[in-house]
Amino acid sequence: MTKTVVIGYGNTLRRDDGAGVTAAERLALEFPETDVVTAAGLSPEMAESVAGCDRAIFVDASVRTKNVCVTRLAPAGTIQKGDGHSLSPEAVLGICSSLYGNPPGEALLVEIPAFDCGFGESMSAATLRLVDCSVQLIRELLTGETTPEILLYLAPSPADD
Amino acid sequence: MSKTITISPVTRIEGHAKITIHLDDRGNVIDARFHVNEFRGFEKFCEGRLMWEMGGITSRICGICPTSHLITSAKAGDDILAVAIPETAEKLRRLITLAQWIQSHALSFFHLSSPDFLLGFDSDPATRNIFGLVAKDKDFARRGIRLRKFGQEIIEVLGSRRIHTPWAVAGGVREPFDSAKRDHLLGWIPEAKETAQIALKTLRSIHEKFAADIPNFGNFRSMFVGLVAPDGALEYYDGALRVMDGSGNIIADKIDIHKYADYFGEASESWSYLKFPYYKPLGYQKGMYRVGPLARVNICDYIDTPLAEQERRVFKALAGDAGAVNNSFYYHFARLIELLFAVEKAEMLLNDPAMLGADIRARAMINRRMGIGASEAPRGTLFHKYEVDENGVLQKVNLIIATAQNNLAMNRTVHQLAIQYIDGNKITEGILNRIEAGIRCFDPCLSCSTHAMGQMPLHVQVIDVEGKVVSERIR
Repeated sequence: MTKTVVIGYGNTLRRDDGAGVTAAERLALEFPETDVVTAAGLSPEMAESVAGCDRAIFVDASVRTKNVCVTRLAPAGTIQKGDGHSLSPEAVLGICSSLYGNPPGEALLVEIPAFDCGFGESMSAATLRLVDCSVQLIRELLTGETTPEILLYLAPSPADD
Repeated sequence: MSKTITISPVTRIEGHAKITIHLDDRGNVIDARFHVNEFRGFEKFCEGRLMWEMGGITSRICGICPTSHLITSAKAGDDILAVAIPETAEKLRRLITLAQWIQSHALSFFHLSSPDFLLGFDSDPATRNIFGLVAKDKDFARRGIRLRKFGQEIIEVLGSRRIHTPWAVAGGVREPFDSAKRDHLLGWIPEAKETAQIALKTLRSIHEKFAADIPNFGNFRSMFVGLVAPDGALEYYDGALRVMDGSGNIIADKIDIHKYADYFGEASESWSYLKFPYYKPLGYQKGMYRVGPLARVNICDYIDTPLAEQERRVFKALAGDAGAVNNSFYYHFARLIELLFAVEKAEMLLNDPAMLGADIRARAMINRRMGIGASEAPRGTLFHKYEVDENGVLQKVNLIIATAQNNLAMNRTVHQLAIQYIDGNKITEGILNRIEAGIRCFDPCLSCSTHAMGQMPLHVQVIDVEGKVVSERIR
């Protein structure tokens, strides 16, 4: 059986920025056997959480896309530009690779468009709909109804969007 | 012609800050300031909320020490209810407070300060970070990650989530503990204890490696303030305040936390949003004091766990004739002693049958119009003071955070480092990092939610008296 770890991250007090956390929480309820981690940001401890798994799925809100986007991630060899108060998923994978020698077999980033990152705990209607889409995509991955290859083919990358 | 050197932002601390170093026309340092540019306003916007909500609200002040705010808030709530909480609830709160120390101290030493120590102050900033640490010593980095995870694991097991748990409430805690959870956490203890001891061993070699630098890292006399247990033991959850001077004399003791305002005042400066608390009997500036690990290990009479007590004796020997350990670099040593203590103490608590009790909450109505809570957060003594109406609606809130209490001392540290290392317009990477490392001794938390772990973005300007930039460095 494929061992998958889902990490949803973002600030749930900044409305749409919490989309990744919301998506991950829904998946945790639906797939109790899957390791689901939610956090405000990514930290070095998560390198251990994803070590040795077959697949890591990072779920984050994004202001650089208008559709749910999926990209394949590769481990970073150093701190990424923009890594500051929290790490990038590539940096987590890089630490995992360096420290444990067994990074996930594959790693994907699912980005959910964020339109309103103001103060508040409720999300915009547009982002809420796209949270549903992202959950559906990941659900199909977890149930084997689709493969990462198909997903990467069908879902746009931020560069295409 | 006088000049100003600006270092902004300071990273690998909690939040953002800026340092300005003011030089005279001969390049001598005449002043140095640690500016805090953030304004959060929690005290004001809590007014009008219900007292019961304060645990959840104030824990959002910080993503690193939310548990300290939660516990202190709950204690202020206990005071308003006028209740003594059940033994089980107090012990569970004590355990989560220790967990907070473990995860925060591990983060401070392993993730934030170790890159400076193991790679050197003059090393390439592009690699002086967690990746550099991993490349230098995998086992050390892995252990640091695991130790922090242990602290987070305790918090998650007790509070159901790692950060911002609303688990503690006025009168006690929401959920009881059970033997399966206890056994799970006990399983972590041997590794955690070993890692804390390895960290202390590593720090000893760091002391040797930086013997020339250490005397300049905030080495001055100040008072030290913190909570101590009734018998003088190191305290983290309760107790009374003790004030020690820089010569090791106890100048005030057994101060009821309700009287803190009689002893401590707060000053403001136009150039920083961070207040400047001081010891009132000596007045502003002269009343500078330090809180946190350096203060706590200085002021306590002993530590009631064997391994940490052994280390405390080594620490106290550093004081020599001075009577107290005054060098801020030894915050790191004190922090690691506390880390070891927290693991040992957590083990003691986990083996205590009272932890499994069913009585976890005292229920009452509003019985006092004012409540004060105090506990020792990782960075020092934390106070919450609430004034409420008959329905528990907050009329006034005052939060005194540890980092603010170290504000005068942090400024003094920057000044001392600038005098030692700044020479005219010549500002090297190593100098900048030494100044930042001086601030990091205090592990300040500037009301930010998370830590910076990446390359240190610095902007340094040398400005003449007319405001013209005569030298600039951006990294």
